[in-house]
Amino acid sequence: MSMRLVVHFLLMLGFWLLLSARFDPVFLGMGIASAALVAWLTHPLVDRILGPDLGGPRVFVQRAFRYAVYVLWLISRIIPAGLQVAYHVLHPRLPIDPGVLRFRTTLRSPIARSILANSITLVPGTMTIEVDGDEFAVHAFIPSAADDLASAVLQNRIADVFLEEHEQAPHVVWEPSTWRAQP
Amino acid sequence: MSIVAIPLIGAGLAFLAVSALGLFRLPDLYTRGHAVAKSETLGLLLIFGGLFFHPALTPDAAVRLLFVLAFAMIANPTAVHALLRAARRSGQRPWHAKEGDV
Repeated sequence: MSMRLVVHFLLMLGFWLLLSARFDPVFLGMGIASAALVAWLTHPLVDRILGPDLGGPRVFVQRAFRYAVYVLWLISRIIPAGLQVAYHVLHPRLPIDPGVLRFRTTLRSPIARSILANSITLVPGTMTIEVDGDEFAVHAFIPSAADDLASAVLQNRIADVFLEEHEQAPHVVWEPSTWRAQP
Repeated sequence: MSIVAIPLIGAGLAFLAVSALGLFRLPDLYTRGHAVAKSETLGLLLIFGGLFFHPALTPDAAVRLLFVLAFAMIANPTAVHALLRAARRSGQRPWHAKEGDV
Protein backbone atom coordinates (compact mmCIF):
# COMPACT_ATOMS: atom_id res chain seq x y z
CA MET A 1 0.00 0.00 0.00
CA SER A 2 1.75 3.00 -1.17
CA MET A 3 0.79 6.49 -0.19
CA ARG A 4 0.01 7.23 -3.81
CA LEU A 5 -2.53 4.40 -4.01
CA VAL A 6 -4.36 5.83 -0.98
CA VAL A 7 -4.45 9.31 -2.52
CA HIS A 8 -5.64 7.82 -5.80
CA PHE A 9 -8.44 5.96 -3.97
CA LEU A 10 -9.52 9.10 -2.11
CA LEU A 11 -9.61 11.12 -5.34
CA MET A 12 -11.75 8.45 -7.02
CA LEU A 13 -14.08 8.35 -4.02
CA GLY A 14 -14.34 12.14 -4.00
CA PHE A 15 -15.21 12.07 -7.70
CA TRP A 16 -17.91 9.46 -7.05
CA LEU A 17 -19.42 11.54 -4.23
CA LEU A 18 -19.33 14.63 -6.44
CA LEU A 19 -21.25 12.87 -9.21
CA SER A 20 -23.71 10.94 -7.03
CA ALA A 21 -24.21 13.48 -4.21
CA ARG A 22 -25.90 10.72 -2.18
CA PHE A 23 -24.69 9.58 1.21
CA ASP A 24 -26.96 6.66 2.17
CA PRO A 25 -25.11 3.42 3.04
CA VAL A 26 -25.93 1.56 -0.20
CA PHE A 27 -24.58 4.30 -2.47
CA LEU A 28 -21.63 5.00 -0.19
CA GLY A 29 -20.77 1.27 -0.15
CA MET A 30 -20.96 1.02 -3.94
CA GLY A 31 -18.83 4.15 -4.22
CA ILE A 32 -16.13 2.80 -1.91
CA ALA A 33 -16.09 -0.54 -3.74
CA SER A 34 -15.85 1.05 -7.21
CA ALA A 35 -13.26 3.61 -6.13
CA ALA A 36 -11.11 0.85 -4.63
CA LEU A 37 -11.46 -1.32 -7.75
CA VAL A 38 -10.63 1.52 -10.15
CA ALA A 39 -7.68 2.71 -8.05
CA TRP A 40 -6.29 -0.82 -7.84
CA LEU A 41 -6.76 -1.52 -11.57
CA THR A 42 -5.33 1.76 -12.83
CA HIS A 43 -2.50 2.50 -10.41
CA PRO A 44 0.18 0.77 -12.56
CA LEU A 45 -0.86 3.05 -15.45
CA VAL A 46 -0.83 6.15 -13.26
CA ASP A 47 2.60 5.19 -11.88
CA ARG A 48 3.95 4.79 -15.38
CA ILE A 49 2.56 8.08 -16.63
CA LEU A 50 3.47 10.22 -13.63
CA GLY A 51 6.87 8.61 -13.12
CA PRO A 52 8.48 7.77 -9.77
CA ASP A 53 8.87 11.34 -8.55
CA LEU A 54 6.41 14.23 -8.70
CA GLY A 55 9.04 16.66 -7.41
CA GLY A 56 7.36 17.73 -4.15
CA PRO A 57 4.25 19.83 -3.53
CA ARG A 58 5.69 23.13 -4.77
CA VAL A 59 6.73 21.79 -8.15
CA PHE A 60 3.43 19.90 -8.39
CA VAL A 61 1.35 23.04 -7.82
CA GLN A 62 3.55 24.96 -10.26
CA ARG A 63 3.04 22.30 -12.92
CA ALA A 64 -0.71 22.14 -12.28
CA PHE A 65 -0.99 25.92 -12.67
CA ARG A 66 1.07 25.94 -15.87
CA TYR A 67 -1.01 23.05 -17.19
CA ALA A 68 -4.26 24.97 -16.53
CA VAL A 69 -2.88 27.91 -18.54
CA TYR A 70 -1.86 25.48 -21.27
CA VAL A 71 -5.38 23.97 -21.41
CA LEU A 72 -6.87 27.45 -21.86
CA TRP A 73 -4.44 28.05 -24.75
CA LEU A 74 -5.40 24.66 -26.20
CA ILE A 75 -9.10 25.56 -26.08
CA SER A 76 -8.30 28.78 -27.94
CA ARG A 77 -6.66 26.59 -30.65
CA ILE A 78 -9.65 24.24 -30.96
CA ILE A 79 -11.78 27.11 -32.30
CA PRO A 80 -9.65 27.75 -35.44
CA ALA A 81 -9.27 23.96 -35.78
CA GLY A 82 -13.03 23.48 -35.96
CA LEU A 83 -13.46 26.46 -38.30
CA GLN A 84 -10.75 25.13 -40.63
CA VAL A 85 -12.39 21.69 -40.84
CA ALA A 86 -15.76 23.38 -41.43
CA TYR A 87 -14.27 25.50 -44.24
CA HIS A 88 -12.81 22.48 -46.02
CA VAL A 89 -15.86 20.27 -45.52
CA LEU A 90 -18.34 22.92 -46.69
CA HIS A 91 -16.18 24.11 -49.62
CA PRO A 92 -17.70 22.81 -52.89
CA ARG A 93 -14.33 21.60 -54.24
CA LEU A 94 -13.16 20.03 -50.95
CA PRO A 95 -9.68 21.65 -51.16
CA ILE A 96 -7.74 19.25 -48.94
CA ASP A 97 -4.19 18.03 -49.56
CA PRO A 98 -3.51 15.49 -46.82
CA GLY A 99 -0.23 13.78 -46.05
CA VAL A 100 1.61 11.90 -43.30
CA LEU A 101 4.76 13.22 -41.66
CA ARG A 102 7.14 11.87 -39.07
CA PHE A 103 9.36 13.61 -36.54
CA ARG A 104 11.12 12.96 -33.24
CA THR A 105 10.65 14.90 -30.02
CA THR A 106 13.06 15.49 -27.17
CA LEU A 107 10.24 15.60 -24.60
CA ARG A 108 11.23 12.91 -22.13
CA SER A 109 8.43 12.17 -19.66
CA PRO A 110 5.59 9.87 -20.76
CA ILE A 111 2.93 12.36 -19.61
CA ALA A 112 4.50 15.17 -21.68
CA ARG A 113 4.49 12.90 -24.73
CA SER A 114 0.86 11.88 -24.08
CA ILE A 115 -0.17 15.51 -23.87
CA LEU A 116 1.75 16.30 -27.05
CA ALA A 117 -0.09 13.48 -28.86
CA ASN A 118 -3.45 14.71 -27.56
CA SER A 119 -2.66 18.34 -28.41
CA ILE A 120 -1.54 17.52 -31.97
CA THR A 121 -5.00 16.08 -32.55
CA LEU A 122 -6.77 19.16 -31.14
CA VAL A 123 -4.77 21.95 -32.84
CA PRO A 124 -5.73 22.89 -36.42
CA GLY A 125 -5.03 20.46 -39.25
CA THR A 126 -3.02 17.69 -37.59
CA MET A 127 -3.78 14.36 -35.92
CA THR A 128 -1.50 11.87 -34.19
CA ILE A 129 -1.52 8.49 -35.91
CA GLU A 130 1.28 6.64 -34.12
CA VAL A 131 3.62 7.24 -31.20
CA ASP A 132 6.63 4.95 -30.94
CA GLY A 133 8.97 6.10 -28.17
CA ASP A 134 10.09 9.56 -29.25
CA GLU A 135 8.90 9.16 -32.85
CA PHE A 136 5.51 10.57 -33.86
CA ALA A 137 3.59 9.91 -37.07
CA VAL A 138 1.09 12.68 -37.79
CA HIS A 139 -1.64 13.06 -40.41
CA ALA A 140 -1.94 16.62 -41.75
CA PHE A 141 -5.06 17.97 -43.46
CA ILE A 142 -3.06 20.50 -45.50
CA PRO A 143 0.77 20.75 -45.59
CA SER A 144 0.93 24.13 -43.80
CA ALA A 145 -0.87 22.59 -40.80
CA ALA A 146 2.45 21.04 -39.76
CA ASP A 147 4.16 24.42 -39.22
CA ASP A 148 3.59 24.47 -35.44
CA LEU A 149 5.21 21.04 -35.15
CA ALA A 150 8.02 21.74 -37.57
CA SER A 151 8.96 24.87 -35.62
CA ALA A 152 8.59 23.05 -32.26
CA VAL A 153 6.15 25.71 -30.95
CA LEU A 154 3.79 23.08 -29.57
CA GLN A 155 6.60 20.93 -28.15
CA ASN A 156 8.12 23.90 -26.31
CA ARG A 157 4.82 24.97 -24.78
CA ILE A 158 4.53 21.49 -23.27
CA ALA A 159 8.21 21.55 -22.25
CA ASP A 160 7.40 24.74 -20.29
CA VAL A 161 4.57 23.01 -18.42
CA PHE A 162 6.77 20.10 -17.34
CA LEU A 163 9.88 22.19 -16.76
CA GLU A 164 11.78 20.38 -19.51
CA GLU A 165 14.30 21.95 -21.89
CA HIS A 166 13.24 23.58 -25.14
CA GLU A 167 14.08 21.72 -28.32
CA GLN A 168 15.40 22.67 -31.74
CA ALA A 169 13.05 22.55 -34.72
CA PRO A 170 12.73 18.81 -35.45
CA HIS A 171 13.61 17.20 -38.75
CA VAL A 172 10.23 16.56 -40.40
CA VAL A 173 9.94 13.75 -42.96
CA TRP A 174 6.89 13.57 -45.23
CA GLU A 175 5.93 10.06 -46.23
CA PRO A 176 5.61 9.67 -50.02
CA SER A 177 2.08 9.07 -51.23
CA THR A 178 3.04 5.56 -52.30
CA TRP A 179 4.27 4.56 -48.83
CA ARG A 180 2.39 1.68 -47.25
CA ALA A 181 2.56 0.50 -43.64
CA GLN A 182 3.53 -3.13 -43.19
CA PRO A 183 0.64 -4.94 -41.49
CA MET B 1 -28.91 34.50 -19.90
CA SER B 2 -30.69 32.72 -22.75
CA ILE B 3 -29.42 35.42 -25.09
CA VAL B 4 -25.91 34.02 -24.60
CA ALA B 5 -26.89 30.37 -24.21
CA ILE B 6 -28.96 29.91 -27.37
CA PRO B 7 -26.39 31.21 -29.92
CA LEU B 8 -23.63 29.16 -28.29
CA ILE B 9 -25.71 25.98 -28.34
CA GLY B 10 -26.82 26.73 -31.90
CA ALA B 11 -23.22 27.19 -33.05
CA GLY B 12 -22.27 23.95 -31.28
CA LEU B 13 -25.03 22.08 -33.13
CA ALA B 14 -23.80 23.58 -36.42
CA PHE B 15 -20.31 22.20 -35.81
CA LEU B 16 -21.74 18.78 -34.95
CA ALA B 17 -23.64 18.91 -38.27
CA VAL B 18 -20.41 19.83 -40.11
CA SER B 19 -18.70 16.91 -38.42
CA ALA B 20 -21.41 14.54 -39.65
CA LEU B 21 -21.32 16.04 -43.15
CA GLY B 22 -17.54 15.61 -43.14
CA LEU B 23 -17.98 11.88 -42.60
CA PHE B 24 -19.85 11.75 -45.92
CA ARG B 25 -17.75 14.15 -47.96
CA LEU B 26 -14.18 13.38 -46.91
CA PRO B 27 -12.37 10.67 -48.88
CA ASP B 28 -10.79 8.34 -46.29
CA LEU B 29 -10.68 7.31 -42.65
CA TYR B 30 -7.77 9.62 -41.83
CA THR B 31 -9.40 12.79 -43.15
CA ARG B 32 -12.72 11.81 -41.57
CA GLY B 33 -10.87 11.56 -38.29
CA HIS B 34 -10.19 15.30 -38.57
CA ALA B 35 -13.93 15.96 -38.83
CA VAL B 36 -14.60 13.95 -35.69
CA ALA B 37 -11.61 15.06 -33.61
CA LYS B 38 -11.94 18.80 -34.21
CA SER B 39 -15.41 19.80 -35.36
CA GLU B 40 -17.04 17.52 -32.84
CA THR B 41 -14.84 18.57 -29.92
CA LEU B 42 -15.50 22.22 -30.75
CA GLY B 43 -19.23 21.48 -31.07
CA LEU B 44 -19.29 19.88 -27.64
CA LEU B 45 -17.27 22.75 -26.18
CA LEU B 46 -19.77 25.32 -27.53
CA ILE B 47 -22.81 23.35 -26.39
CA PHE B 48 -21.38 22.99 -22.90
CA GLY B 49 -20.36 26.64 -22.93
CA GLY B 50 -23.98 27.50 -23.76
CA LEU B 51 -25.32 25.24 -21.03
CA PHE B 52 -23.24 27.14 -18.48
CA PHE B 53 -25.39 30.19 -19.20
CA HIS B 54 -28.63 28.26 -18.96
CA PRO B 55 -30.90 29.86 -16.33
CA ALA B 56 -31.86 26.51 -14.77
CA LEU B 57 -28.23 25.48 -14.10
CA THR B 58 -27.46 24.60 -10.47
CA PRO B 59 -23.89 24.84 -9.08
CA ASP B 60 -23.48 21.07 -8.63
CA ALA B 61 -24.64 20.45 -12.19
CA ALA B 62 -22.10 23.03 -13.38
CA VAL B 63 -19.26 21.12 -11.70
CA ARG B 64 -20.45 17.88 -13.29
CA LEU B 65 -20.65 19.57 -16.69
CA LEU B 66 -17.02 20.69 -16.27
CA PHE B 67 -15.94 17.12 -15.59
CA VAL B 68 -17.83 15.76 -18.60
CA LEU B 69 -16.24 18.47 -20.75
CA ALA B 70 -12.74 17.64 -19.48
CA PHE B 71 -13.43 13.97 -20.18
CA ALA B 72 -14.62 14.72 -23.73
CA MET B 73 -11.51 16.78 -24.43
CA ILE B 74 -9.30 13.85 -23.44
CA ALA B 75 -11.40 10.95 -24.71
CA ASN B 76 -12.37 12.32 -28.14
CA PRO B 77 -8.83 12.77 -29.54
CA THR B 78 -7.72 9.55 -27.86
CA ALA B 79 -10.49 7.52 -29.49
CA VAL B 80 -9.70 9.02 -32.91
CA HIS B 81 -6.02 8.27 -32.38
CA ALA B 82 -6.83 4.63 -31.53
CA LEU B 83 -8.86 4.30 -34.75
CA LEU B 84 -6.13 5.88 -36.90
CA ARG B 85 -3.41 3.75 -35.37
CA ALA B 86 -5.42 0.59 -35.97
CA ALA B 87 -6.01 1.67 -39.59
CA ARG B 88 -2.31 2.35 -40.16
CA ARG B 89 -1.21 -0.89 -38.56
CA SER B 90 -3.60 -2.86 -40.76
CA GLY B 91 -2.01 -1.24 -43.82
CA GLN B 92 -4.66 1.35 -44.73
CA ARG B 93 -3.13 3.92 -47.12
CA PRO B 94 -3.97 7.59 -46.63
CA TRP B 95 -5.76 9.33 -49.49
CA HIS B 96 -3.63 11.84 -51.42
CA ALA B 97 -4.86 14.73 -53.52
CA LYS B 98 -2.30 14.32 -56.30
CA GLU B 99 -2.48 10.67 -57.19
CA GLY B 100 -6.28 10.68 -57.40
CA ASP B 101 -8.42 7.73 -56.35
CA VAL B 102 -6.56 4.48 -55.77
